[in-house]
Amino acid sequence: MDLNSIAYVESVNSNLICCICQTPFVEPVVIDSCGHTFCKDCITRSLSTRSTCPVDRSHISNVNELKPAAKIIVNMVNELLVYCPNKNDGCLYQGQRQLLNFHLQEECLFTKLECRNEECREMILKKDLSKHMESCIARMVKCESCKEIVSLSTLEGHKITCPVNNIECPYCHTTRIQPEHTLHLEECPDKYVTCRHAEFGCVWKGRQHDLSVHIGSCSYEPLKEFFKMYKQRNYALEQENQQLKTKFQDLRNTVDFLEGQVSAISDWLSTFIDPKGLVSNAEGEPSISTIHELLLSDNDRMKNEIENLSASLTDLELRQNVAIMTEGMRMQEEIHSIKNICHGLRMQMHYLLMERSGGEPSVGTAGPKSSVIRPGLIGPMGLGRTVPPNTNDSSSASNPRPPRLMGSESPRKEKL
Amino acid sequence: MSMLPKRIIKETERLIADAAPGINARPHEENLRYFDVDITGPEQSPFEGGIFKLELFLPEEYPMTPPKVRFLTRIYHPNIDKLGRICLDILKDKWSPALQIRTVLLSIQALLSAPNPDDPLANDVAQHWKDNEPEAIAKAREWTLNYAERITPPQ
Repeated sequence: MDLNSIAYVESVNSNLICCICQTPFVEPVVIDSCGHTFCKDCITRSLSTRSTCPVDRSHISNVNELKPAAKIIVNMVNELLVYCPNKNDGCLYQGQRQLLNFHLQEECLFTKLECRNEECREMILKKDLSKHMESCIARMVKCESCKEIVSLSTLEGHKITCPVNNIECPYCHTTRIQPEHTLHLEECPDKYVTCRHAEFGCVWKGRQHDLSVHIGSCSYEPLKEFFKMYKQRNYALEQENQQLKTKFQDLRNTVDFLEGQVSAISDWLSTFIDPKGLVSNAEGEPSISTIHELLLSDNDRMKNEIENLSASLTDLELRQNVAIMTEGMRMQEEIHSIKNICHGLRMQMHYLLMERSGGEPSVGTAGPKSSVIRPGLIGPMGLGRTVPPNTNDSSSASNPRPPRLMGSESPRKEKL
Repeated sequence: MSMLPKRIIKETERLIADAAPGINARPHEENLRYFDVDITGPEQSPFEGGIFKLELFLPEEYPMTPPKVRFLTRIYHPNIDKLGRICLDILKDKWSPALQIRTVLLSIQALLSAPNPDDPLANDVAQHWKDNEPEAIAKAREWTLNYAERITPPQ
């Protein structure tokens, strides 16, 4: 703080004014020999050019003749009221000159401080400094790539030279930033490439910029259309093959599923069919066709038997009908003959009765009544005697049926 | 250019606000260390009635070194040469930082009143002064009329 340039609140007694700087003494010193008082700085500079007192031109042999001014002088100038040097910036402080330094260092918000950022160094009012630091164009920021702390103003430039962003091309050894690097890697003329017909057998390898020269002489080049077609066809076949593979897999799955079902069925069937027969079958696996054939033949045989049975049944029915008819006819005839016999007997009875009534009519009437009842009782007796031989005949005719039935059932059982 | 010392500012303010009689000094707007000075010829001197133009420049070391002052108006004076350079001790070895622009200009004004042919700068003029003072004074008066600006009579 240059106290020579500060403003004083009141006009200062001219005895306290240094004749060199024309302002109130700062660190007043007095020349021992002549007693004139000056600021220490002023007289020191003056003596360096001319060894005389500026006021009376008396000779001053050496600097040791300068002595501190009287305490009262020092106090008087130190207690002079001054304005804050930042008055023009808005500081309203005024106070004793000796307290000014403290005010400036500790209190004054209008002191200009240098922005701490290396590239800014702008003088900012203390009160505005924190705000400035937040928006200073030279404030330090962290490079997101390499985490280095750089000033904001150089960040753009840093990004170009940032070691993280700058990647060296492994082919041509030039460096560039990341996005360009990826692009460059494809295009680098020094990149090692194979011939674009390598897949068809060209063994050429070299730098990218030599590729066009090679292509001119590559023996595969004239055939490229053929290769292209061949490649397309190959691709189509591969596709088809793939489709077939999937289809095959599907079918295989279906077969597996069916096999599972078949084995389940055969397990179930084995409770009905002799498992030994199935096992003894070819390779131990009971083939469904053998079982089927077995069942079919059985079925056929049973059908035939049922047909035979039904045929014999109709035959028997016919025979029975005939037997019933002949029996009935005979019975009718028998009934008829019995009727005739009854009629003859009745006629005889009637005749006898008539004869008796001719001799003793009264006794006759009572007698016939009882005799009529008697033949009725005898008749059935006579019938019973004639029927048994007939029934015996019919029973003997129907008797052969049971043994035949028995014979038809037994062979089936034997077969099963 | 470095900041103007407080002393120069103060001196300038005082020169304008509280001008010494017959002396007028104004700093250049573009260079506050450079002054245009008018000194009125002192009464009872051969320079009476004329206004003499001077230039004054405050060097960087001022007030440790004296200001540089030169007459711009031609003047017939034993201590001032035809280039306008002034032979005055306080502008040379007798300079003291306690002196000011104002005191320098007052000294020059005084020099016009009292030429000192024993300490000459312009040898021929000094000799003329020594040989024939009235003739020299007449010539000085003549030059004043010819070269110096006339004082406009107060209206």
